[in-house]
Amino acid sequence: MVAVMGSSGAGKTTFLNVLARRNTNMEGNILANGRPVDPETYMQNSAYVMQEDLFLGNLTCYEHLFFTGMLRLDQSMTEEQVIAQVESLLKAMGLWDVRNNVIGNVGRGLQRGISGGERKRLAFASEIITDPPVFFADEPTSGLDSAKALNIVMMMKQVASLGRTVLATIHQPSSQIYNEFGYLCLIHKDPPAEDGTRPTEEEAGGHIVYYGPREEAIEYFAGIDDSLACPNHFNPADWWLLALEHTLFKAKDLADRFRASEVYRRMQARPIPTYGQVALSAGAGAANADTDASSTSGNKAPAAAPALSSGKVSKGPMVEDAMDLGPLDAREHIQAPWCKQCCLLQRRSFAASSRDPLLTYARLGQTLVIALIAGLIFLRLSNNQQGVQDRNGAVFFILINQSMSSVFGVLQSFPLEKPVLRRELESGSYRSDTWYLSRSVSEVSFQFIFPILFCSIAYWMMGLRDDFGTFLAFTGIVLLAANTAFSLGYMISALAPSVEIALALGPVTILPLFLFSGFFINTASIPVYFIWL
Amino acid sequence: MSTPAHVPAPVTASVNIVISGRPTPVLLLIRSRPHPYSFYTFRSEYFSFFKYGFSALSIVIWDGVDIPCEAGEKCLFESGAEVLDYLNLPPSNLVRDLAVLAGMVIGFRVFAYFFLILGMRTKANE
Repeated sequence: MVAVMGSSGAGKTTFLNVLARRNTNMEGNILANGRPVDPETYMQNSAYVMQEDLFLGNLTCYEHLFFTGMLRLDQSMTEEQVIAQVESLLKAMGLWDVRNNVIGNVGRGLQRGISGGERKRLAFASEIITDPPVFFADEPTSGLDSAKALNIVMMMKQVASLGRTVLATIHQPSSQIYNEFGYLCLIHKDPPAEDGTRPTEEEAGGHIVYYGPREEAIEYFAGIDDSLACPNHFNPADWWLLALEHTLFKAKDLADRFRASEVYRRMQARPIPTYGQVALSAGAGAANADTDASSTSGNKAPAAAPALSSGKVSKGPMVEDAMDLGPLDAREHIQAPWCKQCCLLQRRSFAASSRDPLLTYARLGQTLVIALIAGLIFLRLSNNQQGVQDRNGAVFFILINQSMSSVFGVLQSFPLEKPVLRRELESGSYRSDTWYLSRSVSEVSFQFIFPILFCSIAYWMMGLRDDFGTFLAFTGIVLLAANTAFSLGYMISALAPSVEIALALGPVTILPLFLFSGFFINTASIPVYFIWL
Repeated sequence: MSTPAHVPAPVTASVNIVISGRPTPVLLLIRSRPHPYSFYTFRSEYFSFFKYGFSALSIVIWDGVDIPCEAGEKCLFESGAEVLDYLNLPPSNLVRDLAVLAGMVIGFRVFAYFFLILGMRTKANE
């Protein structure tokens, strides 16, 4: 179990992203068990618990783990076996009591879900369920009290003791937490120069100044300089950051010094890692392009390469001088068959959306109230000259109302799911087409119920045309138009990175369509200078 | 090199069609009526599902309806057909409207899927 530590902005998270192959803009090699990794299977065989956890907020803890399990576990397992595993995991994680609670969505103040600590544990559970050989965790303890943080760390230790490699970036660990880690990886970055000169590419990056057994770090740094020696009774975790922050040593010099050290030599030659059968060796330095705009923009900046290779650390045996532990990708992940994916995803998205208050109760209330009010305003339209304009207005109103509530319904809910989708696609849980298809199908049911309800109330109250056949045709067209609006909402949501942007883009896109509906202005009368719109 | 006046302007590219006697670039070939001044025919009007929806709904509501006109009353409309004519919505457009709406549902969805996948691809490498 390795603790990755360093000051904020030194590039801990970037380092982890590179190792987990979530960031592919860096140059360098990632070796696992001394072999280069196969990007495809590596992603599926490594688990990554991110700093901010992502869930479909409307699922319960149990549902979340169940669907994750069904999609990602060995496909030869029966549903009962998956359920059994999910249940034992819930118990082990201390989530049994909240298993039927809705997870909740932090970004949406409406629903209160499970607590922060429970979310973190659930995030762990959803990764542990697949039993990955390599486990990354980005700041798993941030925002938790020390007891909960220790709880999480003990859990990671338990994973590590089963023979898994665990890498976690960690902020301000208590000495108790710090002492649980077997290895320490310390990343240091030079503070910005006081005279404002831009650091060179190599200086700007973070460097690994220590990577080795945790206990030996004290001795190692004391051996460099007295100013780095950790005082007695001082939490080493605090000390490293404090000492490095004020040190006069350059990060690069410290890194060079480390590579000349005995610890480094031993780590390189280490025959079998202490924890786990899987040893990672990363040829990627920490976050070279992390803060420097010039190198971030130019992907794979060649200038970054020397620093990256110089930051090379080995977390395990090299092939030639050590026991071969076999390739990491021995266990190939097989996705669920297409139909099963569709079926599961549809069940999941139905479970999620049927519990979404915006999609159900709010929409239901909205539909009923607006239908009644509109029905009363346009009550029993008379069939005469005055009735003509009223009738046109009523028709147009129904169309606009149903289309708009469709568009804005999507814009408010769909972008929230995109980060979850990205995560799950990265981990290879399912294909993108099955997700899209099943999501669309489960939405369609909502897209049918509400317009039909609305039309049934409003049409007859208004007495648009007292003929059942016309009513059916009318409702059908409203459904078609509402679904067109809904699809447009999908398109806007797919383009927009967040709900806010989607909601800003929506009206801009719809307004011209609205104006040119043929109701406000006969399209033949649109002035020449506006026809480009 | 000059072209003699009596030779009609040839249709040189598939995007140019001749409307009202002059070549017009056409990106979308659905035109309800030719516009004598159209120089740019990509118009959001063609994407207005409100337009097609309103057209189809109006046709369903008004087609074949008689509007009673009492003696001595000054009547603007005596039948639904006249209303549709006033709104410039010929009943024959119904099938076109439905087809365009259905096409839009599919089209928007397909585009949405591609945008989504594209977004996932690029974001993943940030």
